[in-house]
Amino acid sequence: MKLIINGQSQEYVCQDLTALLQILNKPANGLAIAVNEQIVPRQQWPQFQLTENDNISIFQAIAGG
Amino acid sequence: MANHLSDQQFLRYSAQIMLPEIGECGQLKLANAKVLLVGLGGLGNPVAAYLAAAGVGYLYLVDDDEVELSNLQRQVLYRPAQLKQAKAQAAAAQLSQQNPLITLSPIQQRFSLDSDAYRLVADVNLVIDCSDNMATRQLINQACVRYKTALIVGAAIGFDGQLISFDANQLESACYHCLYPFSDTEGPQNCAALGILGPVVGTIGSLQALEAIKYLAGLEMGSFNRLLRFDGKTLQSQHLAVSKNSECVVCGQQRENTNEINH
Repeated sequence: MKLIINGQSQEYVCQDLTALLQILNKPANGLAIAVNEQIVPRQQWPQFQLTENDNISIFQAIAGG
Repeated sequence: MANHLSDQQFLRYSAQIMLPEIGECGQLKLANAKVLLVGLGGLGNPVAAYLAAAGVGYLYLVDDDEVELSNLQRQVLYRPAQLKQAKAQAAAAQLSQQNPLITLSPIQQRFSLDSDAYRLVADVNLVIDCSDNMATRQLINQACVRYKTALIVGAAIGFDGQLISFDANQLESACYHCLYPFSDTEGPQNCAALGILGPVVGTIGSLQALEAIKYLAGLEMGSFNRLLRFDGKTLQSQHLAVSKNSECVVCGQQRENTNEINH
């Protein structure tokens, strides 16, 4: 399935956000994820079903000031 | 509470009073407004400078730190003669020279559960988070949810900035914990450890000040429940919607039910 992750389009074999993080080898610490410009709460990552062409933003919280 | 502007106020703030969105009525709202500003570093400096200059009547300035030489690269309020002075006092001294018409209250304290600053959240119209660590950010959010006070959050590191606001008075408002449900970031995330350019914190601080003036004057805001991610390298911005998480331990349904049982 084609997914756009942080602006890069690529084929992935995965169903949900937790699986996607595993494929990308990204630890969940300090991360937030938005799908199609809507933040997905952490509790929903394991059930969140991805669909073709989803636009996904994966980024770190920042706390500096 | 003042119910009219003095001649001096009218002249000084005329450039913003002439905006139909602000007008005399909006300026009076600013003059009567109380704002709690937590953190007087790279974000807090421009926020405090713009709110003081715009005539926000009462500014509570919270920081437990002292001015260091390495702060001067981005914290533009401070002067070399103020090194080792408390930031709260140093900022208040500079701002009172810029605008003697407003009331400045320096609070040299860390924002903690038992601090005066925490209790002040109940008494102000708006809180602005310019702090530099996740634990403080979570505590500020908790206080704003508890006392139903609007909150404008800014953060910056390296070339990256983030901005989002919440209004706990709105039933469907999300909170900071809905967005970031953790009290620590991955690794050190402060400017001293990771580096920062002055204009990057300056940009986010200016946006926080803009949102604050709009909120206090009663204008529509663009940042409620909406995360702005600013990339200082490309100058691109991204807007992401944040919805209330019913399972949020700070503002969610569970929390409200627990409160009802306890009372």
